[in-house]
Amino acid sequence: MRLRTARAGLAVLCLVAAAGCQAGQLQFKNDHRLSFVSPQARHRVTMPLTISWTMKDFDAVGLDGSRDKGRGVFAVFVDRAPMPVGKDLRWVGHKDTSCKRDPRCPDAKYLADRGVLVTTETSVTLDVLPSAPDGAGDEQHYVNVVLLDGTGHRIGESAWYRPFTSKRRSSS
Amino acid sequence: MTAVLDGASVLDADAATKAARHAAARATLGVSGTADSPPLRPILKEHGLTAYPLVALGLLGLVDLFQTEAFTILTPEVSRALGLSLGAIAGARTLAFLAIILAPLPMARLAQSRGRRALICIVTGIAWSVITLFTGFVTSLLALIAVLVLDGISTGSATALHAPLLVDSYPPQARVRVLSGYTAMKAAGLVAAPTLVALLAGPFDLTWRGVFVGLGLFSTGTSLLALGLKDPGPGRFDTEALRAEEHEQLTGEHLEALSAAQVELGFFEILRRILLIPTVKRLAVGYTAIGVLLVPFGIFLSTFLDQRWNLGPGPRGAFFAGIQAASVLALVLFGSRGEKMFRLDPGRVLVFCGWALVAAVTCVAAGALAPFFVLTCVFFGLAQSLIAVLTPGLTASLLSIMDARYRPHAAAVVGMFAAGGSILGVLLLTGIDRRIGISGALASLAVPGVVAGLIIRSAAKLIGPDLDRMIDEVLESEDIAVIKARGGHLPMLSCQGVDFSYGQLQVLFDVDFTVDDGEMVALLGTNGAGKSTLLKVVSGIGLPSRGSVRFRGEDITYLDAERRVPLGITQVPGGRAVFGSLDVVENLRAFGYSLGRDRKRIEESIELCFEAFPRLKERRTSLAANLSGGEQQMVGLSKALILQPQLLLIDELSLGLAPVIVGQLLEMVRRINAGGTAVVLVEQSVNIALSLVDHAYFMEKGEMRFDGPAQQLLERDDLLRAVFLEGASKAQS
Repeated sequence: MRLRTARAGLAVLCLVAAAGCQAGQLQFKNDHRLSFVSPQARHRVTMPLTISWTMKDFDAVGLDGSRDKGRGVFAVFVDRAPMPVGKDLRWVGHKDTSCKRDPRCPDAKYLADRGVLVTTETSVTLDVLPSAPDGAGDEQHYVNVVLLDGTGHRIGESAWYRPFTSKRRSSS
Repeated sequence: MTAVLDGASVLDADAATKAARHAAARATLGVSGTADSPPLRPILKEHGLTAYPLVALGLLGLVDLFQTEAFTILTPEVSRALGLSLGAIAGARTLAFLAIILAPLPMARLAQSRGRRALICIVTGIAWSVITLFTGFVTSLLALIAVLVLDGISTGSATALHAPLLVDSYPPQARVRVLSGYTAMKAAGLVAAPTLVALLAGPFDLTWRGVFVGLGLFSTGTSLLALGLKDPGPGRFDTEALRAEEHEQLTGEHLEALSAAQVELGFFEILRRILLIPTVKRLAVGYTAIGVLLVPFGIFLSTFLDQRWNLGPGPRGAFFAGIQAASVLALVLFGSRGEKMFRLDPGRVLVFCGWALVAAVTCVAAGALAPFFVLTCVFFGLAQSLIAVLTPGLTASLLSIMDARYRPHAAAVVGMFAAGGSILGVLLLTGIDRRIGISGALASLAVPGVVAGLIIRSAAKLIGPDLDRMIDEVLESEDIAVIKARGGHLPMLSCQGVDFSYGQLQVLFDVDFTVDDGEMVALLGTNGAGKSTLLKVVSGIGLPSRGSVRFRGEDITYLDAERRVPLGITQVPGGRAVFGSLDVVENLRAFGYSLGRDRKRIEESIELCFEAFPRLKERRTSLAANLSGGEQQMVGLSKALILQPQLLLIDELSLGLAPVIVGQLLEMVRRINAGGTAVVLVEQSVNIALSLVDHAYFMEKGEMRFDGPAQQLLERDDLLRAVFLEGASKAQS
């Protein structure tokens, strides 16, 4: 009986592992199409902060409804993880019931309030950074830039990460 | 005077023969008593062996580390890609760690009944390789937990089976060197894993997914190289060789499957038996203290390098690779030196390991507080080298005192103790880190390290007696096998050299006790002499710390009490041997529990009890608690009528009962004995006991002081004076 239970448990673990493993859209080689220009990695920044980059082989034409993987927009996530592969911008508010009820949500303001900026430019400027957890020394921040297609869905697993620091703000 | 001298000569000759057998047996087990280390190549050639088992298991051990090491290095990338917090990743790793802790025991269980250790090692090796590969395809926290836990489960075989399989694949003269080689290959894995990760992530430009896939493919290919691994069977070169040698000496014939007739221990019986061995107990505590030290050392060292010396992932990887390379060198140097120490005296290996650990933690403290990075490198390199040699030293010592069949269990048990200690260590160091910083936390590891070192060192004095105990067990079982094969007479019950302790208080000392078929013997002695304890050892309620209990020649020393009842051993405990809250019939049915679902037989047996004790029939619906003392003993004695044992152990039958009742009960005991059941009667009342038996044993302060005819005991005033003298003599006269 115990052996049977152990076998069943092992089978469930294998199933969960297999179900959670998807070969499609996964990225096994590094994507070097995007290169950050500023800020430099792990450097201390001052506000307002401009995050800029260069891009190859991608046309930032806007949310034109196209499913083409070579065109779309940039999404910049400040101090937060991007949406999973294949999800669109609605994922940002997927735990917010009021947003889920509103067909216009999320709009640009809703996204910006949550540290998500959508742009066709190769730079964004931040006036303020999200509050950092309590601690000593400089505040640790980062951005993730991902590519969205014309429908707002994330293209592939490519995500470009840039960490930086800023002077700690007083908690009061 | 001449007769006394002759007797002494005979005893001397016996002792000399025994010592010679022991010395020969120790030599067979690799402890020659000389500090030599015969070259490896001739040893392998002599036995027709190759390095393949070592290389195959070493490679499996090497790739076993890939998933864990790669995951440690790539945690930031995995966490970013899956959008998981470090807390979620830590939670997943904690679950995986639990799997690593618990998995070795089922692996030992799987390998217990059949010689399939090699198969399990191969299958699990391929499994963890495939799991490493699959880690590259994970897209959710749940799937991540699943692959980490599966990896933890599959690596249980490395803890439980690799070392025992190696020990059985090579002769004892090469044991420490082989284990050193295996540990060195594992250490090489700790160099190879970060190097491969750096290579795949650097020149090959792979993401963390690609790195896992690459490592998985490499690991699978490497695991396939172990397909030719075979299980040589437990103890081929030591305990089984010793059995064969003994058998050959005594009979001139080659060993046949006589040992197969022994009563096999179950899984939990084996674990319990292992933990009764003093060296194992001591080393288990030592391993716990090592766990407190080692795992947190690995975890906190990385943070220390980051915070104290501002090293990024690349330089940190190089640092770890460097100190692991130093440990490979240390293992190469240790191999033959450790072998010499082991062959001279295994205790020396433990002394060395104890001091090596103390030196290692001193180096850790010095490295943590060093003002220059070069000094940090030197001290941590030294520390890692000293820590590395602990594995072969401790493993060889632990497995050498173990019956080969129980080695996977022993390896699993100490692995679990170490893992348990590591959890304590992480909690401890986290607290210290918050209070005094990372350097202080690392330096504080010196405390558990020194404690562990001293504990391991203290095990040195235990290992010699434990090795001799194992030799005694093997020699005794072979002697019995030979007697059986020759058709010689074996007593129904034989206890040899039994020691028993309640915690730290030893109450039985080297007790010998035998009972023949159909015999009725009295076991006499003062209060607290150890009579009831000896009955517990026979019935399995208590387990001895040394010595053996054999029933019809088969070793039942560590068999569970409930498994002895079907063999034919039943005990009527002293005092109220009844379930007070059940009525008489329910009590009798409870005694028939081991008869299974044979209701008819149980009901017939109950009627038999009522015939023997009509008083019980009258009180059949009364609660046992409400019965008189005599009636309760009648219920207790009915157990013998229901179970019809071959050996009945009765403890203090007459205590506090009226003479008339005692007479009735004794009559029933006579009838039971007349029916062929051997009876051991424990009594404080000499006149009662000696009125029934011809053979008596007398115990005093846990030792057997007399073994002979009852009449002779009555002539031993020196023994009987204290308690029984007058009453007993009068009763007999």
